[in-house]
Amino acid sequence: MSSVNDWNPDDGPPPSPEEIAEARALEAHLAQGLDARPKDPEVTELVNVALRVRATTRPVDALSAAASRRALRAALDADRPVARVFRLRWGVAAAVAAAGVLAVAVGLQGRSHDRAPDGYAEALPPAFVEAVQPGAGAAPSTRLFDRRLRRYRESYLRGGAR
Amino acid sequence: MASLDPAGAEEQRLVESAQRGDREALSALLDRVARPLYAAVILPRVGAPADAEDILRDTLLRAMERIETFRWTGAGFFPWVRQIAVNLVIDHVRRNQRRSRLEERFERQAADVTPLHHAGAEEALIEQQERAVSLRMMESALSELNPRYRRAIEARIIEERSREECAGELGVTVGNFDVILHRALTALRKAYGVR
Repeated sequence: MSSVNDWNPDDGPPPSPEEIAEARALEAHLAQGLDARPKDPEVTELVNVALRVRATTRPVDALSAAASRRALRAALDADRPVARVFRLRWGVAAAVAAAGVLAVAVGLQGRSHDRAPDGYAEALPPAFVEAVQPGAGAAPSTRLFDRRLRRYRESYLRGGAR
Repeated sequence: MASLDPAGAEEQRLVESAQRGDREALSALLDRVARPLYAAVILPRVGAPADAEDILRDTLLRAMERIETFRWTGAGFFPWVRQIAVNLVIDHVRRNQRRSRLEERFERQAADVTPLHHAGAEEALIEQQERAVSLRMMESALSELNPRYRRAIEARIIEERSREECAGELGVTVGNFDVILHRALTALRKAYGVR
């Protein structure tokens, strides 16, 4: 047998300092048993493997009794009629709520077509709202056209010939 | 249908009442299976007590939601709810890691292993039968390890001996024993599956 201070080749290659540190950290968590809460996912997985071995070979009666009672109570609470309706129908309820919101939005939009929102109308300048007056603001070329048109109409009404 | 013993007949009555919406019957039925599910089906496959409790809660909830779909057989209620639990454990493994050998084992086991349950069986008997299945899985995984790694796990995890004793038995320092145990659990994780 090799000296206790030697690394036994049967155990694989000699460990690196990092592996020694990881092994020490794992042992610290294993010593805590069921209370172990490692943060490192790698250590968590190894602790869980150890816990599986323990759970398989050594029944943990008190833990099992308490945990199964809590889980049953939680399941029954979650399955109460009100909770069940809410849980199972939440999709329907969400769809109904969405339809309601849509209906209200469409309704409001429809109202906006029937009657312009007061606030919006009041905000427009008068040029967009007042009736357009004939000739008002017309260009000189338009006024010339108006005179020719008037003469033509008067002669036409008098009998035709120019 | 084959005639049932009184315990089996009582279980069948509870199932039928639960399927008609009797919550007390449903609660009684689930109360009988909760502990064997936790102690012998879920915890030995998951390891972490908190994760196992969550899976048990989800199992019971799913059983409540689907109780109407259960069809009575002579094996009783437990195999049905056990299958729900195993499926949820597989889902849990899938969520937490890439596909592992453990998952493949579970799927094979779900298809191959049929514990000898019968309607109305005592909790303790169900637990014992389930534990035997878990034990076979674990022993199979341990047998694939280097004998010194296997011994490290047996001494420290199963027999719960002190590090000093374990190191003395393997003829190494305590620090070296920590490394051996670390390697042993890493190897077991691969053989047994992660989580």
